[in-house]
Amino acid sequence: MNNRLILFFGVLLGLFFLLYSVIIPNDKIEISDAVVSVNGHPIYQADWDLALQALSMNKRNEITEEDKSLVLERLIDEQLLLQRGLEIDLPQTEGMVRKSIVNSMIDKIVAEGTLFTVSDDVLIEFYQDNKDFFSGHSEVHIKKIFLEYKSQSEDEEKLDTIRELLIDGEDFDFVEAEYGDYILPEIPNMLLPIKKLKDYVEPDLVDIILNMTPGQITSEIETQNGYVFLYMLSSIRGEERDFQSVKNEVLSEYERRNDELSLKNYIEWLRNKSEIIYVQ
Amino acid sequence: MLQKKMRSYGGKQILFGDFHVHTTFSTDAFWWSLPILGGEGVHPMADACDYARYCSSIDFWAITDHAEASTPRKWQETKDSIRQCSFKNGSETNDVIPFVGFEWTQVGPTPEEHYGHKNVIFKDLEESKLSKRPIGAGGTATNALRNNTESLIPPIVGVLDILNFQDYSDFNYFINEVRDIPLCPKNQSSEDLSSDCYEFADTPGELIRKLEEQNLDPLIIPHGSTWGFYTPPSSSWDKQLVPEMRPEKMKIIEIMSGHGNAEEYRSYEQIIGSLNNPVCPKPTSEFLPSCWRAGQIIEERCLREGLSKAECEERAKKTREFTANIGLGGHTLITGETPDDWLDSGQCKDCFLPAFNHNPLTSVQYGLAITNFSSEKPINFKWGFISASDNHRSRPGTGYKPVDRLKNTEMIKIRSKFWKDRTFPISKKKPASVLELSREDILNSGLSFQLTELERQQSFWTQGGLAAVHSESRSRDGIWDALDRKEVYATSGPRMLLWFDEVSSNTLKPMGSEIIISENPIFVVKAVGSFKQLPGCPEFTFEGMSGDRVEKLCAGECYNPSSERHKVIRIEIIKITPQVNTTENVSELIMDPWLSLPCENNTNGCEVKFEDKDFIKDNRPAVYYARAIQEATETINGDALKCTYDDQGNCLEVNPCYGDFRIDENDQCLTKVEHRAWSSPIFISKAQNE
Repeated sequence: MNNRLILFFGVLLGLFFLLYSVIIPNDKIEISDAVVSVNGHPIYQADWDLALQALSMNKRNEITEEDKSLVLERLIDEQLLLQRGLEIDLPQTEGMVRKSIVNSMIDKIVAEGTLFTVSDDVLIEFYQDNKDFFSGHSEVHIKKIFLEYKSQSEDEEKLDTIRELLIDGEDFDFVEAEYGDYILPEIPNMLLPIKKLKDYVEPDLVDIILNMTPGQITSEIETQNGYVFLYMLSSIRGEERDFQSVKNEVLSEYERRNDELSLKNYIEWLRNKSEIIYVQ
Repeated sequence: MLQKKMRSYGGKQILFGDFHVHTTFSTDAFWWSLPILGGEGVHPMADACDYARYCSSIDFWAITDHAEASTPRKWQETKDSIRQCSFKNGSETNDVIPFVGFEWTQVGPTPEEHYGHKNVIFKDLEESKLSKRPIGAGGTATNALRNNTESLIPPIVGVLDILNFQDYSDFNYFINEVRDIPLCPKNQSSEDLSSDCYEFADTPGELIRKLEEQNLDPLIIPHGSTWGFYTPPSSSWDKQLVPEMRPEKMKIIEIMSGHGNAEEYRSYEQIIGSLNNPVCPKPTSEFLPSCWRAGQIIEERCLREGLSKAECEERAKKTREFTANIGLGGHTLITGETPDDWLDSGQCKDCFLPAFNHNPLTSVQYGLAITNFSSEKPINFKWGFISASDNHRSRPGTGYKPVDRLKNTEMIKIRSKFWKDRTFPISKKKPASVLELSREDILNSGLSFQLTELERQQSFWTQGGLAAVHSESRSRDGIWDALDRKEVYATSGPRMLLWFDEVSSNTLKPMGSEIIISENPIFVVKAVGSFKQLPGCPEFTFEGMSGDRVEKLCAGECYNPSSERHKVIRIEIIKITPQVNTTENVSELIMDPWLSLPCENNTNGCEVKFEDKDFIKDNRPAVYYARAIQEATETINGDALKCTYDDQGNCLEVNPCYGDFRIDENDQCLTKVEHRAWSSPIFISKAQNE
């Protein structure tokens, strides 16, 4: 056989395996790797090994057969609890579970949409279209709500309240007066140049402020002494800066907007494939 | 709920600045820039502008070159340069707000003729709102900075340092340019004088009158009031607290600068007795008079020569008499003396970063405690407080980091022993007897800077402080209004935040207020520590200046805050009850500290509230100010003399930081000190109908 013929059969064989892997379900392979099936859900050898590895790191002596068995039983228990949790609809009824799932989904969507390389040409075009944005703020009017660290549960409860009120559009000053803790120094209630803001606000927070837009309120930010919510009331834009001096900011903003777009598109796809009925 | 009620600062921001900066337009600054003194060459106004904007990142500053060394050309360039610093693309920017000013550098040879230095700062930059010429101080200052400047450098220096000949030649040009300006005719209104003559005033009252003749109302800021290097011993504030000296025009005082702190009163005096019969006071555990130490130096030499104890004691006594009689510059009567010989004599031992030879009778506290009863209505000084750098190298706001003492303090770098011997010549002879010269002999000797113990002063120079204003806007008007209200405070360098209010009524009375009340005053102080600094400069600096220029001008170190603040560890309250009759002893009227209030150990700042429960009962006016103390941090020349003490607390040996070759350039001479912010006082009187 000549080389062309060998190449042809090779490609054909490759396509066959590709189609086989796509068309034929691989349950059998998975089941064969499973060590236990719990209500039809497999627990794989790999999961068991991982749990054993974790145990070995916390145990001075070698793992015994009894340990191995105990770990497997715990994995079964965990699977049973998980299934029960889904059965009683925990993701819909427990805020923390729900939040955790939603956050994980967002991370997954953003990770899938991440751009590995962006060419300079694309960035320059993006910069040209958003010059105003990259000129930076010359002056900003900022307000903050400060929440001093107390106990985790107390903090969570207060943070939830503040978040809900802010999302509902409650007046920022009202929320601050009702729920904020007092901390020095107060930020002057006026437009301040970024340089001056740094006398009142830690530079780490100023970096965040630089990327805010008027009207925007941040979620809580952890600082040395407590949580901070920032609100940008207004800003005055600064002078135009050349592309090279802001290239990193342009890339970061481009990626941020790309992440937002990925999420938006994904949610749109979800909406399209779902049945949403507005009852009222 | 007090805290929430007290939140009412929303309409003001704190702006930091430096109202005392020199370029090489000043004689002493030009002299210090020369190669023999390790200078970096000329420091033009543009350097100061860049430094304020990119190195120290302050909000405002003022140029205050010595009027006595000014010329019409320099004054015009000063005004033009400040306008250039202020304007961008045809409009005034507010990133750094520069002011035009000059320094009236008055020095009197005797306490009766001495008024001290005043900075004159103008609000606006328009030609019609600025003085037609800087107005110098007559007498000693004009002689030293204008007529006798050749004594600063021996002529041979330019020849010996041939590679830098041009710089010395420039200095001679500088001197000649100053001398070529004719004196303005006397007895003519300042408004009517031509702009190309040299005008001077002998007293603060005359200075203010001349400015008023031009329809000008600038700030007149006394500064360096306790500097003993030029203040004749026994000088006091009293003679300036008279209507003709216009004390009401001196609204603001510079409490501290890189040349030392003028705040604290102490009961010691350098010399007692009268001008015609001066007496050297005996030493105490708190103070060793320099005249007394002069006697000890001669006595030690005498005993080393093997002369009798009685003879040596007699020589010591005579030495004390002659040096007390001379007053300022007594060291010149001791042939062959060195700075180390003087131990800690003449110095305030427990003051915070005191001025060299600190003179308590011209301290800020003394000034606030005295009253003039000669008029129907008693007169008092009612100063607001600021600090400054008094930098002579075009570097406003140097106090942000303890780096590069040879750039950021006034220390003079002398390259080698060869040059030191020619700058500060020391006789190898060390006779065991005093030079029997009178005050007149010394004044006529042609000595100028040599009288000031310049070498010994080196280790008293720090990076200086800042002025802070509670301003309603980031603008020239906002800053000026805050100064006018005295809603200002001083810091010893770090950018601390400070509020001090009287809160007994529904309206807050901020620092600087003058109030009349019918109940005991209640005060709230809030203070926040400065941000700890990161090494190097922020990106912003390199956007405005090249790397080379950042290195040269900022020494590669800029104001560069981290996210962590220093702790404020306590708040001290000083209460002064100004004299209500002439017999009251000032030392009993100054309560420092009246209160010392600890702060919780946190980095969020500190807030304290207190009441003076005796105010109504005492039935007399009182002045209160707050001192916020920050945790100790490394400071250049934080301990000026580094004495080794005996068990009784006597200084046996000093180890000062010299600017010259004796101290490694990389040694920044650091000692930890508790930096601070001083509020302006609140002046309170009791309502008379109560």
